[in-house]
Amino acid sequence: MPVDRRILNVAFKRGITLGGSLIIIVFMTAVIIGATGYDTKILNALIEQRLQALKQSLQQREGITAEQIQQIIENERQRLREIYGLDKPWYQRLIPMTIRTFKLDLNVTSDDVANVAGLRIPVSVGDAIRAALPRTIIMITVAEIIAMAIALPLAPYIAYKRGSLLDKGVVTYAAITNAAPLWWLAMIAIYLFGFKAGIAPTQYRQILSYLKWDQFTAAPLETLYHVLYFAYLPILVTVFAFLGGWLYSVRAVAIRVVAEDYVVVAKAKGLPERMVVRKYILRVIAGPVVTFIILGLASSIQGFIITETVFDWPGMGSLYYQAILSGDAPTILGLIYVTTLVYVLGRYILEILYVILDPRVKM
Amino acid sequence: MSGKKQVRESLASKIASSLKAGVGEVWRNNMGKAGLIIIVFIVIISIYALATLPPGLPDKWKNRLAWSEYPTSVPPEWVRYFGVPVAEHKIYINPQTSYSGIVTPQNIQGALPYYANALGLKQTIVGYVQVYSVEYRLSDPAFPTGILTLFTPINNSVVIVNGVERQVQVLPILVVQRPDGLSIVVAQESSALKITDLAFKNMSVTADLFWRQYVEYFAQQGVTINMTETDARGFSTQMIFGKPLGGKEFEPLTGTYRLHLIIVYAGAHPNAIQQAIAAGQLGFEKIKIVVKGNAYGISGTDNMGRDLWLAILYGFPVALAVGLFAAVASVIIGLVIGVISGYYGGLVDEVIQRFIDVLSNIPILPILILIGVILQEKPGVGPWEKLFIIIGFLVILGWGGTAIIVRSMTLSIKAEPYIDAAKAIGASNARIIFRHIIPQILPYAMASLVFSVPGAIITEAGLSVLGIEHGLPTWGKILADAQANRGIAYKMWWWILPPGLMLAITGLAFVLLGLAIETIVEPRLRRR
Repeated sequence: MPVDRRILNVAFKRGITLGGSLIIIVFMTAVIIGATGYDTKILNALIEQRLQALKQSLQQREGITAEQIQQIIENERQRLREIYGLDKPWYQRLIPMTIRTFKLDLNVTSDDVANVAGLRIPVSVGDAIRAALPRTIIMITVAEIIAMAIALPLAPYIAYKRGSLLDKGVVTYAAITNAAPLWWLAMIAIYLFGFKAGIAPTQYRQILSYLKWDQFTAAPLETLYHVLYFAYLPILVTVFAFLGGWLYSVRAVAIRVVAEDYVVVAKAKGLPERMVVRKYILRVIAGPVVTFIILGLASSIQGFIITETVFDWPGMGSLYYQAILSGDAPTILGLIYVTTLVYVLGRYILEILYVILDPRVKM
Repeated sequence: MSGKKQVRESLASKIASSLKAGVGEVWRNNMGKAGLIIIVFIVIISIYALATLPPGLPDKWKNRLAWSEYPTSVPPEWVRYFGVPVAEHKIYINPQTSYSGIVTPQNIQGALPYYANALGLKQTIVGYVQVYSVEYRLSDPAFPTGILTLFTPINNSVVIVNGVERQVQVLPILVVQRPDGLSIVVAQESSALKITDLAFKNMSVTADLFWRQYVEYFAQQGVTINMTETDARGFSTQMIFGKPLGGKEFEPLTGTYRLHLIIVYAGAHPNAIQQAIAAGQLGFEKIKIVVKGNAYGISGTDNMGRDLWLAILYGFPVALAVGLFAAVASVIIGLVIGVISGYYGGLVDEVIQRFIDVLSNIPILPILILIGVILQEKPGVGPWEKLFIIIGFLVILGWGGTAIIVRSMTLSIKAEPYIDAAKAIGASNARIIFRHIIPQILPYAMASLVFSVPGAIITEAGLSVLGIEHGLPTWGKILADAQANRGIAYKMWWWILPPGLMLAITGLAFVLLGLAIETIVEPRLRRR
């Protein structure tokens, strides 16, 4: 089979499966939300709240009877119930809801969710995500990139020196960070650096007021200082927790290569260590390492729900959490859609890359 | 029939003997040895916790009133060995009677001298009096955090005088006699009350009684205390157990304190009362005086006074149950489905693989939180049920990875000539799967089982931190309460450090064990 047909074939097949997964996941989430009646409660409360406000403004108007007010209120209730789709049973709302989710044509329903985004209602789900995303990138994606930047050059050497003290230390470190939850390290960091040493904030929500583009252009250095002041501890803790995993997994890939005959031969020939690592190890492990990088970056934008909650960091994780707590179905669906989309896209790119780079891979 | 049975038996004995050999090999690996030792410890502590913890602990944990005898927000007692001054937490049950008799203004100087000259004295007393006295030694310069008196009166509040029932009323008064000789009335009911009503009263100290006289007394000694009545309320234990330095500064006064609980039986029939008490018809079944320390137990207390050690203990069996259940269930599902997918191939394989594709793209945590929040609102679901429904979903969403690995191993085993040979002599699919394929995959399955234990434990604890609660006092629950009270809890290391440390140690034990199994079953990882 010619190469380009092979690639097209894979691109098509995987596109269908991954796209299908995305649709199924969003749809099933909508089913969970709808079938349990989880979202109707908040929608009903929302409608009653609006009607109450309308009633008060009507009562202040003159020349209007109580009956007329009642009539207007009833009409308005009907209208609102139609807008939110409460006039139909949940399974009839399902398809339109899913379609609107894919178009990101939904509005945030809860004030608390809008607050996490740092915006005011009415706000679209897309805008809320656009507001929260940079904050998650500043904290988690940046931390992920720093951990990668340290681990990638270091791990092959550690694999090469298998069994050394450094190697044992790295394995122990990785085992510890694997076992200790990141969100707990965050609590301890707030205690140590925030409350005890007093060199880091204890409240992180305020980053909302500094992480803004117009503020950055107006006073770049000052804004950067403030952002760093809030971000350095979360980044540091996350890097500390990630680094072990990165070192361990890259090392594990490299160890398999180090044990290959051609590396043993290269060592036996007396080639310098750096050359062996660069020429015979780094090149071979590039494939799996690219997988780690792309999947790591793609999942980093989901945010860390628990860790962001511990820091009260208003990123994607906090947005997720607040949306679920408030029963804000549009935001939950929007977030599931966007984060799954990015992850699925990452996997898709990877699988196409495999086929392009390695002619042995077939589907 | 008998042949089949034999196969099963030999399979079981094969597994048992390979398990034995496996444990031996893990034990020879340093990481494996460390992991095994910690796990054995965790199991022992879990058994100890199950055997000793009261069965009502989960309910008690939720009940704010159940913890009133404990000091709030104090560190563990062993901080003393790190140079932190500690005022001991002491509970006195049924203290010694130091005086009983009729007290009148004429004999009070002789009978109750500490009371007659005490600061905060409201009125002199008349009637039959019983005094219960205890000694409290304050050896370190530290302030206790409160004094509490609890009563369990005998269920009778009348005496018979000449054939007529007479109500007996009592007035409890607590006097502290300090090492410097000064006495202070620290607690007193505002008026005499029916003795049976004391059952519902916890008498605690209040500076309202004595602060004015206290300030005057020290002004005469040349120390100016500068505080209002509202200030004084916040400083009551400092005033009782301290030496004023002026302003609002106090220095702990070390030495032996005597606490006198004076019960005044008001009423005009002292002799009848005395007889009733002597006959055990009137008085108290139990009296408890608690001097609240500034440190408590092995693990300190939280802001509700709850003894954190109890939840740390309770957390062990729960963590083991959660981790093992989730790991075993998801690995068994992954193993079965992976083998089926690899062995049968074709359409079955395709369907399973596409299903796993969907599964592997699901953002697990948000879905779990969503399910957890929905469960919270459902009434009538018990704590253990809630816990295991959530773990169940964790299992349902989490077996995909194992299935993929098992499938690829099955594919390579299936290609071996001896499988063809087995088929040629007419072995059934089931026999091939159970005799030839699964035994080879089992060691890998063990490794992935052990590796998935910490993930399940941490996920469950993390969900608790987010407020997805099942109502059991666990490590996650302690941290959840800390998160809910983050402003104060994040300053208390004894609140946030131990539960996380327990999570980390438990996780680490399984990670170490997993690493050891991995090096054994993966010969390529073996050191040359």
